[in-house]
Amino acid sequence: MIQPCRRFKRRQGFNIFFLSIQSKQILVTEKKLIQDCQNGIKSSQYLLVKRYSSMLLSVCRRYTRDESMAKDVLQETLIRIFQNIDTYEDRGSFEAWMRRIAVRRSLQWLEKSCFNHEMQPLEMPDKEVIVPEIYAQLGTQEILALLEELPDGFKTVFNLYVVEGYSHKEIGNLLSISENTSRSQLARARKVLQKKLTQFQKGSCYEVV
Amino acid sequence: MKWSNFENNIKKELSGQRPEIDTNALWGLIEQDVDAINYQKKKRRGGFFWLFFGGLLIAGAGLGYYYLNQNDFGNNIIVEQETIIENEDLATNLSLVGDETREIDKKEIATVSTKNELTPKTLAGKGFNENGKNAKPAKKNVFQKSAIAKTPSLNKNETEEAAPKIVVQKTQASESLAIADLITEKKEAASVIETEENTTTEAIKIEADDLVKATSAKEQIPEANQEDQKDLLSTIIDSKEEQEVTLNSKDKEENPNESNAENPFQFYVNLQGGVSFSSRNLEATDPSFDTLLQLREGSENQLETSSIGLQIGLAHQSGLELTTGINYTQINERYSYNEIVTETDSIYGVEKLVKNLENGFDTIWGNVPLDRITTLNKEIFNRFKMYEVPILLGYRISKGKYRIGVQAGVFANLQMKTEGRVLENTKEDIDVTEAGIYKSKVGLSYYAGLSFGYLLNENLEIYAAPSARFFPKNFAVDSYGLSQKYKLYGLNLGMRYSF
Repeated sequence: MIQPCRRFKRRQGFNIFFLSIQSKQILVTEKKLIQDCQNGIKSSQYLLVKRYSSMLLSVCRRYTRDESMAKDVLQETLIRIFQNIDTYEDRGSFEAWMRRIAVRRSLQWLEKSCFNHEMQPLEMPDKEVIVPEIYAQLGTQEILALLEELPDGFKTVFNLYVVEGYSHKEIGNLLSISENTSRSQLARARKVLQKKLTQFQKGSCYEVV
Repeated sequence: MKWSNFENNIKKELSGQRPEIDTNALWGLIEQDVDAINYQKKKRRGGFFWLFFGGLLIAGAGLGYYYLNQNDFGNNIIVEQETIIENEDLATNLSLVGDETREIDKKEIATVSTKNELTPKTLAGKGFNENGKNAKPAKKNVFQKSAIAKTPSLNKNETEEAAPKIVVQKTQASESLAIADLITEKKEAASVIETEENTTTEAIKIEADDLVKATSAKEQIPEANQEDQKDLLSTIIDSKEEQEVTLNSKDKEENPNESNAENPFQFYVNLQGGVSFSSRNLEATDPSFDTLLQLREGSENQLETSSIGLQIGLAHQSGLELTTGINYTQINERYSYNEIVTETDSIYGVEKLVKNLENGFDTIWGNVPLDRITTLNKEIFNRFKMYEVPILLGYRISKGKYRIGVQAGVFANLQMKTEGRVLENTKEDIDVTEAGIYKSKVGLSYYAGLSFGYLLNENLEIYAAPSARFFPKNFAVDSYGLSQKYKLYGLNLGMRYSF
């Protein structure tokens, strides 16, 4: 008959045991991980998925309409990463390389789902966009919710420019639009965000004094 | 400005976002595709290897066949014929009518002879040009050196660093403390990892937090009594064995090469070829042979030495290696000598001119003696063809994809065949095989070399191996007056396949 205290300690022993596995995994540096994945070592490929899937899901989520689409895109992204990992040269960040793949896969998914960019080139907003004071008090979820409300085209350009750091030229190449269209899309996105922030400010308890 | 702050805030918040995800479920969804990708890669690599190996073999065999067969002994003589016809006695074959004598020089005779129907056309018909020289063009059989086939090879080294393995020590009562210590060490190591570039600090923080929890859990263990600890240990050991069985079997299925990490030995096959510079030491065994030594040194010079070999070896995980196999080495030399051959012949022509009563000259035709001098420039390639078995001991270290090693040992000569010609004291050249100048076996030669390799994939490696070899034994038989020894300094390029 196992006494409760022993069972508790046995569970603790298990936890310690599994954590020792994890601690060994910490010792695998990124370079070694990439090398092993290039050599097709499955345990390292699993470790790569474990380590980076969360980050990649957040990237995919920003461009897709819902969680399920984001997970589908994530799967394709990971497969594409393993297919092309041999082409990764030790220049630049590995994470940035994976993010680029995730962004491209996300955009291709949007194209497949007949997403139309709101392409109204050369129309710039009339007034300069002013951001309400409320923005400093917004959390991640509020920001995400605001961005979700943007039209798809604006949201995509906004994410690519602001979050991913692409230039308008690069955005134009990715989305097959002109540079000017990218600029106007961003300006429109900012205008829409301003309106939403103002509405949020009016409706929230965080009023600027 | 405020808008940029807003966007920076967005960027910061979204970049740091890490939604929760079930990794195991995700892995389950993509595992099959990943297996397919790994299989395709292995297939491609294997196909590339065999294609390259086959191409290399064919190219090497073709070059070797061309190189070895185009130097048939009979074609090794370059002959430049320079034939000079000299007729010194013609000027004296003058007979004059009357008291008048006159010396007629050769030129005048030649001019007269051409005027007297001995035209260039006539001369050409007899095999001479108008200058009296041999009109036939010199035949030249020129030995053409073939390029030595350099055989770069692919070198493969197994990944010596296996994926992290789970090791749980079979300990006694203090094992739980040892495990706790291990966790503490890992935590310290984790803090070191945090400072490295290219690591996901977020992930490490999460994992480090887990470690903190484990460390705090460890504090409860020392409170347990001996029996409880033993129970805990036995449970840990049981679970560990299960895990090891599961993981090891998984590893063996998925990574057969990794399972070799349990076996400290690994076989490999090398295919290498190379070119060397040979340094010959030729000495007279007795002062009476000094003349022969000078003749030979003046008529012979060293050319490149080529070698090709197939080796098989056994490597230990400590880095030690033992290699053997079969090797072919060919030492090449050039024997060149100018030989002058003089032949006496005669030609039908103007034998003499006789002055007649009308103050002119009558032509007397007859056989005119002449000397034909031929200069032969002999250029013959002497070869020492050796079949050997190497026995080498080596040590290798690895640094990422690079491999550096050192090797030393002996090459046991199974057979040596020689061909070519050398001068002897009479300034005539003799065939080395007929004269029995060289031995058929030269015993052991000593070898030392380095190797610099680069791993192409798990099994293939290419390497370059500069080396030196020393033949301590005399190549010539004891009865020959000269001692002939060699040293070789060269570079081999090779390909290693480990399995």
